[in-house]
Amino acid sequence: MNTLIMKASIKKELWEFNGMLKWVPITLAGVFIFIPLLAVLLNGIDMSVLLQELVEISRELSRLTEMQQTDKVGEVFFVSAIALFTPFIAIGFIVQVYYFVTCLFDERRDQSVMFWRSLPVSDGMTIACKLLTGAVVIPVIFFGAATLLMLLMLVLAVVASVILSVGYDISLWGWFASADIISGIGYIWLSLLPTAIWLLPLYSWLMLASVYANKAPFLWAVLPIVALLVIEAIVVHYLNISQPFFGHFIADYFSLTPDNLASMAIEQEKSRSAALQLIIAQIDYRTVLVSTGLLFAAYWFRVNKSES
Amino acid sequence: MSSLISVSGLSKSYGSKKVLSGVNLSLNAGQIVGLVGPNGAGKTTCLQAILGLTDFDGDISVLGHHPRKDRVKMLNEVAYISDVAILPKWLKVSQALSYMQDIHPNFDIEKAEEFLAKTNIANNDKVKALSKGMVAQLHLALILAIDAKVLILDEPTLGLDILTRRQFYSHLLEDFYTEEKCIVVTTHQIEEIEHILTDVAFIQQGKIVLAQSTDDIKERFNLVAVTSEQVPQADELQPLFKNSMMGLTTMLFDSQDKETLQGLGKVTVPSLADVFVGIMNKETC
Repeated sequence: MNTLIMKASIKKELWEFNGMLKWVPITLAGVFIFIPLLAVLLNGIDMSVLLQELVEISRELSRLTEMQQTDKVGEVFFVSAIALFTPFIAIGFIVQVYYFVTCLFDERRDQSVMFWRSLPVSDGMTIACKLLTGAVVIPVIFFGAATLLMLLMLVLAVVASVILSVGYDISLWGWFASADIISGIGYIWLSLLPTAIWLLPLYSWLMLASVYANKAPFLWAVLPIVALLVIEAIVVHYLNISQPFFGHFIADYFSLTPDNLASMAIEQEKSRSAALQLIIAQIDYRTVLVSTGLLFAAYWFRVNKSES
Repeated sequence: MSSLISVSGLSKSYGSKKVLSGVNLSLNAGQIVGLVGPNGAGKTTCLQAILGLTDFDGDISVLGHHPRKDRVKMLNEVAYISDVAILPKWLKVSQALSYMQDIHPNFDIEKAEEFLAKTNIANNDKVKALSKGMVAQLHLALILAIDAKVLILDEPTLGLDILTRRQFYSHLLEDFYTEEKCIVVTTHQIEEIEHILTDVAFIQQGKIVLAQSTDDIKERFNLVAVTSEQVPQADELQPLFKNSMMGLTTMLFDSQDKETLQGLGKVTVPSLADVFVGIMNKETC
């Protein structure tokens, strides 16, 4: 019964944010598909010239030795995949932040919270489902859209390879074998859960702001942190303390610095696992303590805040 | 009769403001109870405490459950319609039915669809496209399809036209009410639901000032049209309420001998609205 309630509750969240969760990824994918097509059409690029250039590039690529292919192709594919996923991850993150800030606020604003709370679904279950939707389901939707776009591009690449193979006797099939496609996309997908856990304190804080605010939940999410940082900075300055605790805590927890990434990449044989390792390394006792505290506070307000 | 809801010493304060003070109620199967009081009397707070939606002092048992500790179990058998149009605007009718079916063990989707088929509400409609009356009908369809033992209605027809209000209560009786169930309803239009109530509880400034069956109330209270010559004599019997209009004074009496009252003028059975006004104005009379 609990699994059924959980599924129904997540489905309800998807219904509520249906427009945003459907159209944002579709639009983003559309941009990737139609912008190059528009560029070709508007600039009046001759397709035969384009095809000739493609044939030339393919000829050069097919001359690369097998060793060169294995070394480079996988890396090129992974970097391309990252480049394709990055806008989806970035926009998806903005959508996540919006979702968390409004998920408990909107139902109080339109008073539908009275309807939801008159049904046999516990407040704990509601908080858990909203957290799961924001932290996991929304990234899955955006990762899924990016993956589908990637697959579409791979299909186009296969079609191009068939044309090159049949029409020009250029074989690029070896490239597909050495591109390590599944592993490349798999590494990106593997980062989804660790990222969700790493960012749990942020998500929990946004949910707390959402359940607490009577107006302007986004300001409630931002202003207390800014105020705390400013006050701490003043205190640190006047008391000559070596470094601000709170500011340092936030900066240290949320920063994935390029230096760390580079050193991690060197240590790891393959750079594709470096980002994942870095994210996992950031998860520690702070994640558990801060998230638990903030989620409990969000739950408490949901149970005890009077809505009428 | 088995007690479905038992409230004992219920008190609630918001800061220094006391909203409920020592409320005692016992509601049984088969009862349709009207909780009636002026604005700010504590009706909604009382219902919210019964539903576990707010914390409180005192003891409440609903179907043997503590409303705060066993809220989810309790809500399997308790249905609630609040005083505001609270169905979210983005929800589609089909989604509401599907969600209720998934989360509510006692929800009968066929019953809800049967009810909705009698209305102008389509399965694909969104709440934001429905009129206020239609939203109330949809909410009622969702609630009536729950096999609940207790139904709590907090001003359910607020802002609806008279036709929709009448329809609402007639559906309530036809499609929900049985001798095993109990309905608690608060409303300002007491005269409209007077005929369906079995019991009433009048609440004033957080206290229950009268809780009795409607039959007993009709026995206990009398409305007398007193001629101007008889007014001094009638005043001696300490009426709860008196209203003078066009040379005729109407007085409401509590537990007075009927034969004595007949000597003062024409005696009639007061409406619940008369009794309510009389009780609420008791101190000012």
